[in-house]
Amino acid sequence: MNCKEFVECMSLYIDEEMTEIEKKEFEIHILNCNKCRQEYEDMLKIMKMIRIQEQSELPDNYKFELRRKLKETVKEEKKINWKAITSVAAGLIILIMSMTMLFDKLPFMGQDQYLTKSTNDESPQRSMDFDISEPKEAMENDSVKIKAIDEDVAVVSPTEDTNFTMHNLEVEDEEIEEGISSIQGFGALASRSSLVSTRKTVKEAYLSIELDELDKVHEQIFNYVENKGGFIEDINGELDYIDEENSHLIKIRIPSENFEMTLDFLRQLGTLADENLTHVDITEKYQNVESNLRCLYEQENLLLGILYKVEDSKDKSLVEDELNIIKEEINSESLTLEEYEDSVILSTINTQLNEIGEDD
Amino acid sequence: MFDREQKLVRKCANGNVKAFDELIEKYEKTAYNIALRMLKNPEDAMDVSQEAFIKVFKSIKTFNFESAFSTWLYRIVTNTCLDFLRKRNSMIYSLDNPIQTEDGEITRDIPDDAHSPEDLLEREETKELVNKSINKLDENHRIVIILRDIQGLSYEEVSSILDCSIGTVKSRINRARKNLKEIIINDMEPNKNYSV
Repeated sequence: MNCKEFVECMSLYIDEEMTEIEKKEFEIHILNCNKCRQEYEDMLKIMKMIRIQEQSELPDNYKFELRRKLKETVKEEKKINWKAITSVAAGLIILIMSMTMLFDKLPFMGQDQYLTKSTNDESPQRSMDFDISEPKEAMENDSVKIKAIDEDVAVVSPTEDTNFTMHNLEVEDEEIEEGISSIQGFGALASRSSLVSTRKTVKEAYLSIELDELDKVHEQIFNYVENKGGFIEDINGELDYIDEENSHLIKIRIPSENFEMTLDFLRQLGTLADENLTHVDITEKYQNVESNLRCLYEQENLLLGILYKVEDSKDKSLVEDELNIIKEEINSESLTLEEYEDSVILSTINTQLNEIGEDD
Repeated sequence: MFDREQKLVRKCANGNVKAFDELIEKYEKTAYNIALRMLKNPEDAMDVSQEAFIKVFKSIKTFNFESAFSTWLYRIVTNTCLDFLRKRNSMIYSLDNPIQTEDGEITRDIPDDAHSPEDLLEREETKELVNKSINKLDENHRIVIILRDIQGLSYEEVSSILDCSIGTVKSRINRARKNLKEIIINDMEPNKNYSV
């Protein structure tokens, strides 16, 4: 290594970004070359000087200002949406009302004859279509197709499960605000149908096993479970003093994809005395909470926007109270959702281990 | 099981401002300090770092966890600073413009290993000197010193933040440190004793 190379790679040495060989060469050069050694030591001093620089504290009003700006941003994004909503809502409500009147009498597919009266040039086979210009980003999803609003005809494109979504349009509301909530409801429920493809199942099992040596088996179970990415949630032990028989109930949580194989493993540890398996489908429950949460977030956003607009301090505190209620609900629903997720991802195996003593 | 940050990002994508608050809390001070050292005054640093946070919030739906969240955030902060500097066309600040310390005074918050009043003063003077010298670097060199030497980020993180190869990072750091060393040596007053 020559002096030029040395200078070029000084930083790499200081930052330990060198290979062992390069390091050795560098260190050899330091020993042999006074000038470069001096350079290196000067650089170390400079580095030390830089590193004693301290971080400044945030200004006192930093967080307050940032939150204010964020709320403004949220409010701006909602402002545009309000115009879209109100212009769409009017058209949609008229349509909803006429749809309801039609649906009261006929099933959805038999619509066609009624259409010919409004659009003479359209072929009778065309079923009724809706177009909604997408009012809120939160409602964007695969099943509601987004098209530009047609001035003459407000129309919605059918989702995969048309009967399902059409059922929801039977909201006969005159007021614009309620019209808006029906859009929200529509959006939320329409998006539900797109989630149907992945079911959420909670798997649980109860096994009762008789065996000879509890402690050895304990360790085996523990290692196996850890290996498969799970954990032991609870152990309950009981000692029967009369028969001197040990009995433990171990609650195992294991990733659901390893559920079956763990059951197989446990069964072969001893003699299977009893077994009970359950699969519970919580998809509906889950989706309910999810769409409720979505609505809550939207309500929160609306309230934040209103809060910013409102001047009077009494009104402000009213809105803030509402906001707090919503936030609490959001927290609790979020928690519920997490618990659901948890129970789906980690299946539960309650294993009763019974130590059978030497027989009398 | 669940990455807390991942959960918060998802909530923010839904427009949840409270989740965003929690998400960025641990990054606020660093972001502010990066901006402070780049822009050299607290008012601009506050405006620009907050502008960066707003950008993060607005585009959080596009974040796909290809990099760490912190890296993505600091990239936005860095770019917002650089844009600001270019717009302002600001060259080197006047030599008399000091960096504000925590409360603008020299005498407080001295680290413990200084022993005597003379030592304290020397250390403070050294810090001042280094501050001023860092300010004199051009923005491309200054940012790597800030990210690598002041904030302690790795070469990889720096290359991700600046969106350039590791090789570029290596050479930039080397050159930046060399430049800084020259500036410091030039600015050192001959009679003073600088110690760390």
